[in-house]
Amino acid sequence: MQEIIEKFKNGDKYALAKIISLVENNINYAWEIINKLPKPKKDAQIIGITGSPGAGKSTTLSKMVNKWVNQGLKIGIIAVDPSSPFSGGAFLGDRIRMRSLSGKENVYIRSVASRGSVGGLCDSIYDIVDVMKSFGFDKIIIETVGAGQSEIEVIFVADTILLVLSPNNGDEIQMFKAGIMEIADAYIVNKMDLPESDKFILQLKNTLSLESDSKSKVILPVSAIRNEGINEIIQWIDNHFDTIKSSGEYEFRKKRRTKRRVRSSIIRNIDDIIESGDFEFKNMEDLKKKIMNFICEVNNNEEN
Amino acid sequence: MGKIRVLVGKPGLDGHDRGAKVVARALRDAGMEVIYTGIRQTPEDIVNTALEEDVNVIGLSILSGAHMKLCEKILNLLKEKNAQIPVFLGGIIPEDDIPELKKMGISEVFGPGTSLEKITSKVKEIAGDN
Repeated sequence: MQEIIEKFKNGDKYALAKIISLVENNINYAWEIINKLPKPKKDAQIIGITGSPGAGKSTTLSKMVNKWVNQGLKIGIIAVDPSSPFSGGAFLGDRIRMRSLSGKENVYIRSVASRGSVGGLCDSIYDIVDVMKSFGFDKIIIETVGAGQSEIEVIFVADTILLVLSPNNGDEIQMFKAGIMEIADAYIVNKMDLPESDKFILQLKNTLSLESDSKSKVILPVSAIRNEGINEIIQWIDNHFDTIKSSGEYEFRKKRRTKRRVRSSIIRNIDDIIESGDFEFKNMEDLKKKIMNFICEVNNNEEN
Repeated sequence: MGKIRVLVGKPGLDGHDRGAKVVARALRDAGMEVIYTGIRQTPEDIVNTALEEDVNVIGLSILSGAHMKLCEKILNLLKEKNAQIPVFLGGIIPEDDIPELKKMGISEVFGPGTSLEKITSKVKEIAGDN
């Protein structure tokens, strides 16, 4: 362990990979591992990219990262794909769209399976981000699974949230629905090379104009495959970090993150206790009391 | 050990990845986390990805006939990086080459017609030894 941490401190990407595996596989002891790592020297911007499967998240991300790397920045990428509810296995295929980043000194890509988490990310995401922050990236990008309308965990984890849409994503009715359509700071409309894309942008503008804070919502038209509109995205992302820091939004999001993280951790402990206990079901209220008492007892025993 | 993580990729120039995809899918359905990197990977790509993703085992699919050179290069790169990650191989590999590949350090060679059950159980075994 000590040897791996030394290598980690010296900027060895492969030691970083080992540490991420450690926190991923020992979620209840992750904090102890993170505590052994150096305190972050940089205030890395955490960028969340979400959107439905096939919208072009990985392709857009890869084009963005190429530009940042050319500016000399160090970028960490966490690409989440779903685990099977049946076998527990996963097919992690996001790297295929990021081939141009392979082997670049200042880029680290980690494919992560959701492992039963239902918010579009994985339970270890907060820990993995901490490990990456300690490693010293300038920007950490989290790509969610191909998300549905309520997979919105990314709003708790990221400073800046991008939603990738494409013109064949459905009509105005889909845009009116709550959930994922509300969470973005910027809407990236990819595949602008497709017909009907201008109409889609117009509908999106109309929909967003109904929101109370519509002024802060941005639409960025892109054709990732043609490398068009990428400069505008990275400029906007860089500016967004400064904007939220000066407006107080950054601190608000940080607090929101801490609350969510501690809640997730406690719920995981409760789950473990319920799973390991042998409870007989007769009356819901009695059972709840019994379990609450049991949890308090377990915690007291652990503290003494 | 947590979940078994496997890299499945195709080094070299042949662009036929049906087999690699079917094997990747079978490993997924056997409960493993498969990092699929697709076609036309250089040996450097394969080794760099394996280390970045901290995989327990590497699976290569080669149909081009260049398996001797590619495997040697990949095994040497792994040695250089001090990485003890077992490598298995599939694709069109002549029977006569298999002993030499194993001597070189390839853990297992699966020819066409090998059952997916055999592949998944063998990969689990290889990964477990790691």
